[in-house]
Amino acid sequence: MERTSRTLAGRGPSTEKAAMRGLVSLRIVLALACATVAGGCATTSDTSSSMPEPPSPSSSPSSSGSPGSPGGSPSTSQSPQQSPSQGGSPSQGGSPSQGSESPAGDASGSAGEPSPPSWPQPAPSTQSGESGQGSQPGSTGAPGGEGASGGEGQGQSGSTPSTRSGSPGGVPGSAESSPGTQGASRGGAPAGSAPSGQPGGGPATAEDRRAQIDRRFDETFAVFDERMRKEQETISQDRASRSGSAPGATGAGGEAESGSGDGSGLEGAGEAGQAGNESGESGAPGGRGESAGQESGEQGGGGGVGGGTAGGSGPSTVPADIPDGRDDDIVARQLREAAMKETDPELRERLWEEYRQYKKSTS
Amino acid sequence: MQANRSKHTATAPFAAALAALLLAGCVVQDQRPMQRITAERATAEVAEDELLDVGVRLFDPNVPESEDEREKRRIFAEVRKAESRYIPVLIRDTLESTGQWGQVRVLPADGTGMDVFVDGKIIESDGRELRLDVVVTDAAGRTWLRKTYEGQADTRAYKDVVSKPRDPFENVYNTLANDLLAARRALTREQRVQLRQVSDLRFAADLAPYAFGGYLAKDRKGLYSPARLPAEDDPVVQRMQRVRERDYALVDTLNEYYASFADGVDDPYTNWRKYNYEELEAESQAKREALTRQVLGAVAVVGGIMAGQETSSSAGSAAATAAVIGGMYAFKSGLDKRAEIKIHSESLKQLGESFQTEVQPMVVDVEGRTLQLKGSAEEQYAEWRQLLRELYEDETGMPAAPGVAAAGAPPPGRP
Repeated sequence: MERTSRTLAGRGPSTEKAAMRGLVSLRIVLALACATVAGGCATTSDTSSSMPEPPSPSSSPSSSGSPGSPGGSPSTSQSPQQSPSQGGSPSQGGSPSQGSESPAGDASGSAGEPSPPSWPQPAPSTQSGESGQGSQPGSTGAPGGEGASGGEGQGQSGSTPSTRSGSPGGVPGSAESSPGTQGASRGGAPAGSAPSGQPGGGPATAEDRRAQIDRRFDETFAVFDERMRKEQETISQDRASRSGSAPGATGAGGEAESGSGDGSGLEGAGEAGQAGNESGESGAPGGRGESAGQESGEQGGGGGVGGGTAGGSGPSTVPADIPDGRDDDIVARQLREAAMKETDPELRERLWEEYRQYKKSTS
Repeated sequence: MQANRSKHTATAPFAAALAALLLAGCVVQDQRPMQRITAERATAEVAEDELLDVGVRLFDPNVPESEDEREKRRIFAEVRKAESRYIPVLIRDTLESTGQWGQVRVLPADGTGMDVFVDGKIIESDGRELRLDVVVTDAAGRTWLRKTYEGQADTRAYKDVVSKPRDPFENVYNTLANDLLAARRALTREQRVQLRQVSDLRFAADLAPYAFGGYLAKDRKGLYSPARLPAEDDPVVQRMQRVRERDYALVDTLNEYYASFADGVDDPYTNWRKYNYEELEAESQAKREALTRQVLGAVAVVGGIMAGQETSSSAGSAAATAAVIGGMYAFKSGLDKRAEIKIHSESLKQLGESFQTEVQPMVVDVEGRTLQLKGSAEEQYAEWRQLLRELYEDETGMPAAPGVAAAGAPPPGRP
């Protein structure tokens, strides 16, 4: 005891000072602790005021999600983690928003399922819950940003029931996609800021979305219009070239085609002759015949059948005693064609003679 | 005296038969020229909300599957395919020329989007005769008419090669145009106005059933009517109208394809019909002559034999012998005519095959281009459907109910 006191005494002043220092530091520590506790209580009370019933699931994510940062930060890390789980199983959500999202969540499930913990999933579910756009493949990307907003909402819902008020607030704003970015930045802030933020971002986004849809409409219309324009241009060129060749041929008349000596030329010559006999206007019909011949070179065989007396010169000249050929049968027509096509005068005359003989025998 | 009477009695039926045959031949020749039927043109402007758009769909070529059947009926598949595109263009031209209708367009066989639809099937077409089964329906689901149109070729069309010839079967098309007009007149003004609305709504309901399906009502008979009309300033409606304009542009382009095809095929087709007509006429003539000669020959032979039995004079006997010989010769010449018929038949086959070879690439070309354009348009339509859906969901804040699609009306023209 004495020893102890001595010891204590022996330490005398230094021990006392040290003890005093220890007391002071203890007080400071206690004060700090109290202050910290008080601060913590104040924060908690703030939060709890808006979120009366903190659901239990929030605690574990918050603790694991934000190791070193106390206060609001956990909610940020919490939200991404929790939101996927809620998007995947709406029953967990408990919040009205999640319940309403579930059908659309199914619709967008194809986008969310492959990567359940990822950001895009909640976003489509949230968005599609509101507008059903989750089914659109293209919009899945955009909602990816909304995942942040979903996260934000989830953060709230995870820590407090304020999600209920928060997410209904978000619903009218249907365009939660853009709040996604807001949510991401806001995620660092206390969760309480979310309810006011979401509705604010909604309307602007709706306009953006509509503008985006209109842009896509305009783009596709432009592509379509261009295609139609080109098609119609091609068609008019085709028709112009077709009609362009006809007048040219008209000018040429029967004479030009008679020189060509092919089947199509014969057709023209035949028609020209026929027309000439019937109406006395051999020039134009000659052109008609030629135009047909030009358009389809291989048609001479069929089209050329039944040609009449040629109006032009050259091999297709038809002797005066040869009838117009309207009543020609196939053999007579072939003889006539062969004669008209023949360039050797002697051979041509023999063919015409053959034709005469045949016509005599059949009449 | 009695023998003479009985001889007269015996020869009288033969003489009558001969006269009948000759008369029959004359009657056929007297059928043309035929009376021209004109399509009734509009004399006053038709109210815009009553102007109905008409879609003439490609006709059913009605080509028998059996090759024997095709050969027997002289049907060439490619020629029929060409006709199934060519005839609708002529009908369109006829309807358009009357000024009684709005847009008149040739549509693919599954074409939609118009107020009135003309469908047809080619029963017979050989340059001499045209027979078509035609059904006219409207977007509301009414059947305006169902009728077989037939006509003989007006041969003046085959002769007139100086100016743009009148189609040899213009009477058929003009009759159809007049019938169509009569059917339209049978509708009340309200029905006509509603028809346009139904057509628009059915188009819209096809693209966005969740948004427009509810605007249409369908009664027990399957007739559509507008239940209500969407607001003009509805963003979805406005976009839909823009899509509709593109649909018209597509229809116009397809229509141009067919018109261009008809332009290209016009001359060779007219030639084919003309020569086909001539060959058919020549064949019929040869058939008639063959029959006449055979019958006359038989009559002469029988008459000669009978006369030879009854006569006692040498002159009578000689005459009877001459009649028998003459009759036999006539009968033989009748058989010879049969060979000519065969030549004509062969000629018809050659004509058909030749024209078929010529027209086939044109048919393939127009068909290919049509399919290509329709295919790429379908992709665009799919995207527009999606965008409309997004817009609708954005506007209403509700998901586009997939169930409404089932209740949505099929596009106009499809039952």
